[in-house]
Formats: sequence, structure tokens, C-alpha cells
Amino acid sequence: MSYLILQPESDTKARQLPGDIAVWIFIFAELAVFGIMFIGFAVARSLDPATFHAGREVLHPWTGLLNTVALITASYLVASAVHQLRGRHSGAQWRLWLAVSVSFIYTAGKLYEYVNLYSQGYNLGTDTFFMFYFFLTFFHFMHVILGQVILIVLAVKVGNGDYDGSDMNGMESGASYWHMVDLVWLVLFPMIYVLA
Amino acid sequence: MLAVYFALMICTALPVIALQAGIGPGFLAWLVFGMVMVKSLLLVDHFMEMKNAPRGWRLAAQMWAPVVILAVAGFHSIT
Repeated sequence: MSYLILQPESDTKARQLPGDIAVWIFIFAELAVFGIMFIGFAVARSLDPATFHAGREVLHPWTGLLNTVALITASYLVASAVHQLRGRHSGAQWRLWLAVSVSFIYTAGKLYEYVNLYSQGYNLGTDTFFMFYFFLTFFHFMHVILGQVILIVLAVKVGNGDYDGSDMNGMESGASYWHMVDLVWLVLFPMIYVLA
Repeated sequence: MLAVYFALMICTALPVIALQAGIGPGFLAWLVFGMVMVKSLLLVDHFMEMKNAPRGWRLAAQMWAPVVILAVAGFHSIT
């Protein structure tokens, strides 16, 4: 008599965390910090909606939209590079360099916005909205800079042949960090540029 | 993956286009909250590749944006 033993083999085999667990603990810590700050922003807005509405009127939603498009495009290119590398196809390196280049649209746009606002007299001490605006966006900006450094390192290492399809831990960890930066911006952008 | 990219782009553009079109602030707010939730789920599952991660990790990553958005929406609705 033969027995059919049902095991969820494909399910257990497939379920793996992309990248290193330490990076994921770091990512969740970062997300928790950002989450608390976003809730702080929402509380402050609920206490003084007029100030936040006036502050939002000064900002250009198209600049924020351009930054969002740049970050999502860079995220797509990074995810695509991971796929290429895992499948042992060529083209991962140029995708990473292109992601770095596209992400510089974000940094350039943000710097332009900061300079523009400072020249108009807006700074951290202007009011509650601009305190949150500069604090939140600059904190995120620093994360983007770190993400760009990580992407450059990954692109160089891919060029050196340090990653093959079998060992993707470093590549996946770096990519996950970059996607976290993008995920945070997806919430930050509408909160400041559209809803405030 | 390209389809996910285009979906993210459309979800990003919709609230800004609605804002420019002069849509009511009440509807705009809920449109924004909805789009952010959809985008975060797409990003986490497809770009972060958490759809293949252990369920607890996946759920934690998926739930971050909805939890934050629900808290923000709660404070938004009381103003």
C-alpha cells in the first residue's frame, strides 16, 4: 500500500527573508522611528490645521511628485538588478548605476527646495509646520544619501563579480534598505505636500 | 515587475492630479490614504520581495504603512 504524504515543501522552501536578518532589524527600527515622527506630525497638524495649511501652500507639489517618481524608478531599477543577478543575467550593474543617477534627481530636487525655502526666509524656527517639514524631510534626505552610498558600493561589487546568483545576501540587504527609504517617502510625500 | 512600477506611478499621480483638479479636501484625504496603502503593499511584496518572506516578517513589513496611515487618518478626521 502506498501513502501520499502531503508536505508544504514548496511553501517552506520559498519562504526566506531577503537579505540579512540584522539589516531587517535595523530596517524595522528605522520604520518605527519614522512612524512615531509621522504620528507626531499628525498630532501637531490636528492642533493647528491653519498653520499646516498655510505651510503646505508654500511648497510645490510638483517638486514632491518629481522626487517620488525618481525614488520609485530607482527602486524599480534596484529590484530589477536583483532579479537579473539572481537569474545570472547580465545588466545588473548598469541598472544599479542608473538607479544611483535617477536618485540624484531626488537629492537635486530636495536641495533646490531647501535653498529656495531658505532664501524666502523659511527655516526650522518659522512655525510648527516648517519645523516638521525640515526635520522630517532632512532626516529622510540623510537616509537617501546613505542609500546612494550603499547602491554605489553594490554597483562596484557587482562589477567586480563579488555577487553571483548563489550568494545574494549583501545585494538583497542593500536593496532592502533602499526600498525602505522609498517606502518611508511614499508616506511622507502625501502627508506633507498634499494633506498638510 | 514593470506592471508594479506602472501601478505605483499611477497611484502616485492620482492624488496630485486630484489636488490640481480642485477636488474636495475630504475625498482627497481618503484617496491619498488609500493610494498610500496600495503603494506600500505593492512595494513591500514585489520590490522588497517580502511575498516570499516568513509570514510574520511579511506581515510586519506590510502593516507598517497601514498602521501609520490609520493613526494619521484618525488625527486627520478629528480636525
